[in-house]
Amino acid sequence: MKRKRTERSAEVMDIISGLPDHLIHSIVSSLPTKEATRTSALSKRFRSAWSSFPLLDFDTTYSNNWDTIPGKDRFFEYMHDCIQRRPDSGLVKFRLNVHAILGGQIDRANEAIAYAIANRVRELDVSCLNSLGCGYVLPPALFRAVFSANSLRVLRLNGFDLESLDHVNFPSIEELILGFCDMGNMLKVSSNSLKILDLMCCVGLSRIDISSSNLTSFSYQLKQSSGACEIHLIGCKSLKNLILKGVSITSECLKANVSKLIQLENLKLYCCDKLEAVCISSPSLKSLEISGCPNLKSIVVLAVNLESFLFEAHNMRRECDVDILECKLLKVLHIFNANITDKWVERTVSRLRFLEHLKLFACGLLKSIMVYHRSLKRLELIKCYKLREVQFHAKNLTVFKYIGEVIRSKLLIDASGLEADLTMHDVFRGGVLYKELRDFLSLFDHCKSLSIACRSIKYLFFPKDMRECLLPPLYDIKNLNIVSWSALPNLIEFVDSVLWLSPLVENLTFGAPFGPKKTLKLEYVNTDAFGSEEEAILGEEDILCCHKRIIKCWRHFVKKVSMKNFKASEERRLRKYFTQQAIRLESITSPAREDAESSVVQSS
Amino acid sequence: MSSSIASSSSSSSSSSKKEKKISLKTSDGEVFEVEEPVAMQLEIVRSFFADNEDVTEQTVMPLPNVSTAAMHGILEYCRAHEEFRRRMPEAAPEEEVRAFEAGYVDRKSNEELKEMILAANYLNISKLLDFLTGVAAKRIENKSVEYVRAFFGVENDFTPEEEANLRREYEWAFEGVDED
Repeated sequence: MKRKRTERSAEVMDIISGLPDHLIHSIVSSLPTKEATRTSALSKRFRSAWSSFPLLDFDTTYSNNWDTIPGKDRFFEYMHDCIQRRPDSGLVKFRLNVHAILGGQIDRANEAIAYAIANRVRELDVSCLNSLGCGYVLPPALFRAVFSANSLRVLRLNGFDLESLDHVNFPSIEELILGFCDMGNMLKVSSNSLKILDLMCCVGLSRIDISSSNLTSFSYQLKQSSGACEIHLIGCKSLKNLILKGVSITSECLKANVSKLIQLENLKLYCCDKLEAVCISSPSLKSLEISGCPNLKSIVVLAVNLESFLFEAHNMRRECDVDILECKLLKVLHIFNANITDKWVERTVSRLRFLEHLKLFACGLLKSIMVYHRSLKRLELIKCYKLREVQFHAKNLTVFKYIGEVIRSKLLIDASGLEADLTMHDVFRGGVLYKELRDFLSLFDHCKSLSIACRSIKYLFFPKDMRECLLPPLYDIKNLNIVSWSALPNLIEFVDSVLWLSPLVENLTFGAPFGPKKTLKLEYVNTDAFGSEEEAILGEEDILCCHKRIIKCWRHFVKKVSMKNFKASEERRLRKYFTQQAIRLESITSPAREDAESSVVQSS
Repeated sequence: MSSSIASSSSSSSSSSKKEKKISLKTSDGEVFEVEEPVAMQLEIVRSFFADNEDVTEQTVMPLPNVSTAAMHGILEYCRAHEEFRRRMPEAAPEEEVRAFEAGYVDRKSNEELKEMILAANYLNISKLLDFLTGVAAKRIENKSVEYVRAFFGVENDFTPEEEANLRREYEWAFEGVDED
């Protein structure tokens, strides 16, 4: 049996060493370029497979020796040698990334681009950024060869001078991605092959005409507006995604375009300074984002199929009317930094019957909201600092996130099975208000799970005298998570305080926001036995401990404790603490550590 | 001709509840009875049945380059993907697919992985092949030249001069890499 096995693996070895080039290429192509290059040193077989590897990737940042001006000469020398040595075989991808090149280096770069085109490259990606701001100019013949290449599907150019692109027709390019290119002030594109057109930081365009019946995505993004720009998307009947950023397009021009894009699904408008009164009417639209447009006065969205709407106002003080009442199927509504009013929220939310996720972020005018909603599942109220009163009657709400000044707000979230996540800011601005904090927390007593985050964890340490006179706020909570940005000053004191807050918690986790969580799992004796009539079973200790309180503290009920992710020293302290304090403790364990220890024993 | 086979098979599968099976014989003589939609993921099988007029349901297709062990692995993957496809005609539940694939390759040794790459290549299952070669790449990423040689089962057959030349030629790619 054993012999058969080794025979078979020897056979496999034989075949593997005769692995066809395309399989070696396929494995190597998933490696980063540097590592892929090193496979050429494995054996002669791999050396020969590497010589016809169909992905060529030359990038000066791959070696520190290529950074300097003479270094760049060496880089081009290397690239030249690679190309010279390579047999003429098909290329899938050619990539070249260099900065600020001059003289003979430009010839070498042109030679490489010409080589890629001659070898029927599918994807060409050339980046030649120049700090002086003048674009890389392709010689006219090479320019024509690139744009008319039949094999080319994806073309990415960075830092090129493409003024003459205007009159070029590209028969086979499907994705054209241009960054930091100088395109003159007019761009006219008409290509039936084009599916994706992406213009990043190509400044100076005042008019763009695109008629490409197969175009599905068009994106034009600028760091900042560079003068008025007209866009005409004529006959782009397949366009699904449109993204404009920093483009000075007028409201009328936008409206005219959108009304003709019969398949438009996603529209994103960022920082478009000429937009004032936006009216978007599109039955196909599913997702709309409007963000940071400084001069917006009104938004009217007439899109019956819209599912998601995100609006971020540029400036809270600027008034902007938002009307989305026609978007009856809306599921997701996110509003940031906008001057919406209580009335607006109440009216809009109640009309959007299918709304599932509502997020209100830094909406500083909101003071008091009351909403009845059936389908809402997720509610986030983030940094709306003026909120004083919130009432949400939403039976299906499962997630509630709140970040804000807690003490002064009154919250009523009427939903069972809620997972609540609270982050409290400035808890005690203007005095230590433990009573208010206690009352606030008690609003979440019936949640399925509760997560509390405080900038400073010390706010959760209720002083001893407060514990004597207040009722614990989280008597019914079973799952409690405490997030703390700072290290815990004193673990035992912290646990002691949390167990006062939540005397019957079963899963207590705590730790830094993204770090590993320390977990205490607690089991309790049947608390029913401690009803007033059963005084008999109470021992002397029970009577001595917290005899003044209405609700007995955790010490009377804890039966089993299990610890996870604690340091050994912390475990020792916790063991001591629980052993001393818990009256009915049966066991205290740390399963993971014991497993590890027992496995060590076994292996040795 | 191919269309007549396809249509007859689909009508038979819809009329009789019994699923049509295709028999595939591996290099070590074992015959696998494979549900038709699963077998058709193997391009070599699909074209065999599409191009040959005289094949019948009883035809056992020999696959001399595939071992029984590799066949088990291949069918496990193809069956799972057929299941995903059937449950979600539009979009595959991506997380589930990824979880399956992760668990699937975790159990495979390097030898098994290589054997399956060759089998997937021979059977022409491009999706599985892409997936497996990606897994192979992950297993050799950040590894020394020696490790990668052992992975592929190749010997260093360069003379010392040849190897030195090669390392000089691709000097940049060996920067910061410890000599083995």
